[in-house]
Amino acid sequence: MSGLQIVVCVKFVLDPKDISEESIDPATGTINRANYKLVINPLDKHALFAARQLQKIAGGTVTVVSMGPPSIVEDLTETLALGADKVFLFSDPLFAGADTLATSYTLASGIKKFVSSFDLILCGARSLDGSTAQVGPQLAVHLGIPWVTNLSAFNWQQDRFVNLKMKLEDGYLSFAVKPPVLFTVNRDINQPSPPTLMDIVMARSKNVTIISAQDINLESNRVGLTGSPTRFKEIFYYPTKRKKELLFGSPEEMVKALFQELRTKGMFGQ
Amino acid sequence: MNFQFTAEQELLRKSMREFAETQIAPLVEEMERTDKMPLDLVKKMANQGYYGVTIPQAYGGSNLGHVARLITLEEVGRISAAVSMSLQCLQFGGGCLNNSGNEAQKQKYIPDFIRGKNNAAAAITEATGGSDPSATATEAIEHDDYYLLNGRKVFITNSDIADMAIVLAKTKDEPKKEFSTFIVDKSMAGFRAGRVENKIGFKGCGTGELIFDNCKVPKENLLGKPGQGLAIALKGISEYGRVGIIGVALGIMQASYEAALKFSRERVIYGKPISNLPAVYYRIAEIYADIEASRLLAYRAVWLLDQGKNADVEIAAAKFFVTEAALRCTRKAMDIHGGYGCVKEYAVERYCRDAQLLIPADGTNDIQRTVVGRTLTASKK
Ligand SMILES: Cc1cc2nc3c(=O)[nH]c(=O)nc-3n(C[C@H](O)[C@H](O)[C@H](O)COP(=O)(O)OP(=O)(O)OC[C@H]3O[C@@H](n4cnc5c(N)ncnc54)[C@H](O)[C@@H]3O)c2cc1C
Repeated sequence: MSGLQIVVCVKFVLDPKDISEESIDPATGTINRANYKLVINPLDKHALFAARQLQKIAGGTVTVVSMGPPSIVEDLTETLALGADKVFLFSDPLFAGADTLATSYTLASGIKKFVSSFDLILCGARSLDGSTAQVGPQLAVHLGIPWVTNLSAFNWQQDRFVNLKMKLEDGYLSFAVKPPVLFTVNRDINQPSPPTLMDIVMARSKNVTIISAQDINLESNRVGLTGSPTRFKEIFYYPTKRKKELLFGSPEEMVKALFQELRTKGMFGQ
Repeated sequence: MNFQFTAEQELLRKSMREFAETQIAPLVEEMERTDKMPLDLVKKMANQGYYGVTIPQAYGGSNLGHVARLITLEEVGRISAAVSMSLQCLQFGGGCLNNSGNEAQKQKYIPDFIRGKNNAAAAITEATGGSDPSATATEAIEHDDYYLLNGRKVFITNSDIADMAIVLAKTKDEPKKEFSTFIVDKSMAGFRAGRVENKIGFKGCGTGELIFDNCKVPKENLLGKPGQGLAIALKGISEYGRVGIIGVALGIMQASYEAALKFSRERVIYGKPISNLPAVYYRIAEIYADIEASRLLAYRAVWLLDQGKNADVEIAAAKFFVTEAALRCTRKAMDIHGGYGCVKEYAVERYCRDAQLLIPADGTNDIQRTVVGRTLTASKK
């Protein structure tokens, strides 16, 4: 076997460091994206880093796929520096306004067309902006492969993925699974490090291929706004207020009072 | 004219910023307290390839150039001037080897240097006065197949972590003084580090003595030819040392600017953030103008280096302008913080202490003015 064919789905999102209440247009409830820098969705960076680590053990190829406007071509160079061998950007005016269903359909169609036999699809468990956690599982369904979500760890052994650690609210589920499969990962999976200077140099010899709707065999009524059943009712800024309360007394008394206060606020269940 | 960084340089800046914010920022407090460089960090930076930014790929470098080097230093300096200073001096040592070493010397020393296994210091200054390298008293006496070095260097950055040093020494007194540079490494008996200075800033970046006590240096470790020592040292000081200081300064300025801006928006008196007070926003405007002017001077100077041009005058002018601008900016940032600027909980006092160290390092600013002024007045235009 010539190693694993690994596909990583990457979304670019607004840099949360730049966003504040003032970024949101009060009339429309939207953010003018053109004014802000984009960054790789943080969990997708973990996914890409996991792909790179896996490639070191198992060999093979790491392919990044992303759907977005053509303007993100330059941002995608970062994924090349982070270890992607190939990058496909699915970009077409027809894809605009896509919800998770249309996005996952577009990504699936693109992957089928351009990555002939994949072993593993890696996604971040959720995106920083939409935070639906839907695209990964939907993509697996479109591709007809099994999926495991919210992984904190996995290993590769001979012909299968082992020691999968799926994070639940109160513990973990453990699996072994054979490829092809889709995983979504959370931030416990690894600690991504920024590209080295040599990584940046190596990125020069690789490039990003832009793929339009025409290049993929897809049903045009299933992409973009037309293919999106989701409708936004209202978007608004939800203000969170900080409250300050001073506690007095000896340390013991203050701790007691603090816990009493937290308990009445429901911090420790009933 | 094109004032844009390339996409690759932008990517470099982004990744440097990420590294500095995630790997260096958590260490700053401890470095301030212990005044020690975490060796783990030195290794990590080596793994990231930060030492080899101007060194050809044949020796393990990335050869991204001097503009790229300035970006690395600026971004590291924004988080820690001490780490940026340490990094720049290591790059200085490596740069001298690359500029002036022969093939065998490069093969022997540079790949390990880039891997972080051979920390290189640049040892020029002596107690006789950093401004006057021709007063260098460290002597190298020629023997059959070696030189015998005796002397003491002071104020050497990274003296505490150096595995090797590029050393300027006197090789002849009569009829005319002659100086040469040598590669001295820890395998050579009689080479050791002396005391480390207790500086006001750059906490964590060691500055101290290197001592040569009957140190036998094989002849093959002569860097360049006998008598070329001053030229080799001065080229290194200009293209690496001064540029390095400029990079640290830009980082400090950016940090001061961000701190001043943040504080002025958050500090409320008279029921409004102080950023509404002209006295405050004038200072912010001045800091901004200083940073912009500094960046233009600095990046143009290193751009010249990347074009293969001599930039000694541009670099010297940038060195005194940018470091003095850094000092001005850190003071203004402190002023904006009022009393809070004088307590250690806020980083601006650190920026101010660090900025003062930029003034003498790699040639005092009087010397920079001398370089610029003498060159300008000597030309026939
Ligand atoms: C943080 C730090 C790191 C350093 N790292 C290194 C290093 O890694 N390697 C290394 O070799 N050195 C290093 N140095 C030393 C540095 O290069 C010297 O401090 C500098 O050259 C000044 O030398 P000096 O301190 O002996 O001052 P002096 O040369 O004694 O100068 C004293 C004063 O006289 C003025 N002066 C001297 N000559 C003239 C002149 N011709 N015209 C006008 N004014 C003049 C100076 O400007 C200064 O105000 C470092 C210094 C610092 C502060």
